[in-house]
Amino acid sequence: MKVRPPTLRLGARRRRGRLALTAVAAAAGLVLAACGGDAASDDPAGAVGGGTADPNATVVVGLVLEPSTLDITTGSGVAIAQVLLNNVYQGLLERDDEGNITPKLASEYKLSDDGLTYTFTLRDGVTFHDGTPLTASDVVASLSKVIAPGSTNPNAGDFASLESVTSPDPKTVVLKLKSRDANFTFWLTGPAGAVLKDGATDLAETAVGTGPFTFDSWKHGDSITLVRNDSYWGDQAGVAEVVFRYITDVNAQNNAVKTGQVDIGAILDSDLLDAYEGDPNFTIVKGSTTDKFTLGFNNAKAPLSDERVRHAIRQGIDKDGLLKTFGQGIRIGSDVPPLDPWYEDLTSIDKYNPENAKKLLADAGFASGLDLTLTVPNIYPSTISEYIVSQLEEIGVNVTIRSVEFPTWLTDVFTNHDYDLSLVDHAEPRDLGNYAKTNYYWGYNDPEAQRLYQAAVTATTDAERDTNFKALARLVSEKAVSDWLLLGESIQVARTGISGYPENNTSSRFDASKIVVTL
Amino acid sequence: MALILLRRFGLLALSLLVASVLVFLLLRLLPGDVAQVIAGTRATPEQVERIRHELGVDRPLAEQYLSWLGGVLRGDFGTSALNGVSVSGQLGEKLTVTLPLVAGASLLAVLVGVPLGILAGSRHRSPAGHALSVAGQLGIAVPSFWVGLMLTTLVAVQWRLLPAGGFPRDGWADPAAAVRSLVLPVVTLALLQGAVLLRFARSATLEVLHADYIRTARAKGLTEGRALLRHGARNAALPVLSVLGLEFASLLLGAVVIENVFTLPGLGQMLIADVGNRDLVKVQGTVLLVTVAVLVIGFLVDLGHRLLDPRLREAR
Repeated sequence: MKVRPPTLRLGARRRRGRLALTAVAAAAGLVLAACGGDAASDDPAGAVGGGTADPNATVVVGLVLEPSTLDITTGSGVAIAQVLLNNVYQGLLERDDEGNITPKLASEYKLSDDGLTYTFTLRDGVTFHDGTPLTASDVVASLSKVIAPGSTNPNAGDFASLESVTSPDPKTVVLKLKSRDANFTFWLTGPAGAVLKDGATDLAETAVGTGPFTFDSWKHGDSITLVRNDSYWGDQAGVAEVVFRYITDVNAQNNAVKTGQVDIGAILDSDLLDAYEGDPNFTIVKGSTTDKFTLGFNNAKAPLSDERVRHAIRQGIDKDGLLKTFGQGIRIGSDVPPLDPWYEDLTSIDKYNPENAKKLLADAGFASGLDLTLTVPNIYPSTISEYIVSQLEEIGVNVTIRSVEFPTWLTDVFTNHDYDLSLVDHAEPRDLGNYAKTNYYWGYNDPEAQRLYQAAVTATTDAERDTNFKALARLVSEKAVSDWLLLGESIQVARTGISGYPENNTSSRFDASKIVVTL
Repeated sequence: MALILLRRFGLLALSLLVASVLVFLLLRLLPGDVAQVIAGTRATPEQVERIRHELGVDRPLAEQYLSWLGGVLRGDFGTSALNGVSVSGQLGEKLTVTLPLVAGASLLAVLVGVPLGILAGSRHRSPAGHALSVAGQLGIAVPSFWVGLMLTTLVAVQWRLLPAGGFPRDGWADPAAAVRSLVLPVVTLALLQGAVLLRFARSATLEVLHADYIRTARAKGLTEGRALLRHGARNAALPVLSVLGLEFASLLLGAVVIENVFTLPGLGQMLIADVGNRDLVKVQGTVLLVTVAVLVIGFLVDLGHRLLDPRLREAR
């Protein structure tokens, strides 16, 4: 974001051209349009002992990406769930900071022996923030809407295996699946599983849920404020008010943390962390994420349809060097982050080997070099794409960076598949299934991948599921369908006196209910 | 005068109409669409199509334009495609931040930049004049975001005198807090603007200094200062006024750099977010508003010229 305001100098010549001025105004708008925001990610938690907890405290959390709507049933992206899930909206089940899944609005549930029917018993005494009691009909309405024909819920795919939602009595909800789904309980803890009040309106601007915080206000372009739900059915939240402040500028976020304007803030630039190192007033909190920075290859289009070229590119990029340059992140050799049960270290596939990369390119007929375009949304740090360019130059691949706005990427790359190389952060958890999709933007259609994915999700045991997912991750890595550059880290700095904040995946879920401010 | 006003208003309306068409069409040239942004990467193409239909962005362009224009003529700027909020409401809210920012900066810039510029012009051979001239150059050359960063680091982070950024959540409910949060951004913005005004005031002063009428006035026995004041100031004010008008208008959106550095929820920030989301109805509203501002300011500057310069009043 380095734009200077246009300084117009027309001076003396100014009697003509009212229309010209108009055009300048319009153009100024469009030019500004061309400069997007900054990169984003966030997070962590910590525990600081001592002192007395202040139940009347307000905690200010510095985040980066503001949601464009609060409607969790139609809006995409992780920013909505980040502030609303767990805090305001809840599901039958809930996922905590460590990834453990526990019953929430349900007090208990059981799965039938054939693995196709979940029966949930609703917890007693749960009310929505407007005072109406939660009933099975709210759950049925919320979940059925996701899978209804004509649904525009962007997360409807999470419930691909869900056939029907019914309630035999006001305390029981029955979910019937079309086929076994090893990840189903996981998806129930996500945005698709949020339980809203039946008939709730104005979801884009307000939120009425059952959680430990009630929605207070959303100041567009600035902040979202939640206040403690004093009639919450479970453990009361530790602070009276949470303010999520959106600060896109890295330095501004840093200054807000330093001056105590925010109590805990996401620090994206690892260079800024040094100043906090050893400072007793602050704690640096690092956590894991599911932010897989993925170098996508257009597998359906020459020259990347040639597996040798894809291997060459993977072997031509030194990921350890990238981590050093980028200053954060951890290595991954596949689409599976270490927190997933089916993680396996695959970094030995396509190890850094520029000599072999050149040989592979020569075999593929590109001994004299190759020109490729890398389409990358401008929201990501340019460090990564520039590093790729310089690395690939050494093996004779000339890469041109095409930095675009995210909507352009969506249209050109994601929808129209018009690209060679693409760089995006695949932030969604458990998205290995993308490699089993028939018309995904990578252009990879492999019946074997689809078979493995089906076998994994319909597995009857966890071991069987994990075996198949592992095989799938290995397959796509061995075929060099994509290159997985790094897994982002969640980095936050918290001021001393704050504790109980989440540490992991804070860009997709920031559970504030356990935050405590000590005096 | 009445005739001139009438003609001006006619031109204004026509310009706006042309601008609305241009803005509408140019925005349609941007790649990407709002339905895809809403749906994200997890929705199916069928879902995207459904959203497109619900939003009405699959209708013919002419139809979309006319329905938007119809709304605007009735004072309805439409609603955001992403969250349904009223565009005019949002514009009003953002202006409570951006307008004081730009107005405050312009005022400060005039108060400081113009006198210094005149000084630099009338003493252009003295060391002080040279120093001021260099300072003006420097003020224009230094990027405003850098100035903002430095000021924040010193005043807000080191000395803790003022907030490092942000605007009170309840806006102007607490005027003192609102003013405090605007001090650094206003100063930063005024520095750049003041430097520009200084340059223009200086060269305007230099120009009139050599004008025949000043020589005549001097010959009649006036001192250089009095001659400048009586006869020069009006003439020198003309280009300065023009620049001020242009600066003010361009800063309504151009202040975005400063808004970003100080995380102020202003007009420019909103525009960038909206363009990033392809929330075109909101973008159109914002750009149209700024266009109106540019035209009105141009009109006011013109009136100012006529008041200052009798020659313009006579020439129809």
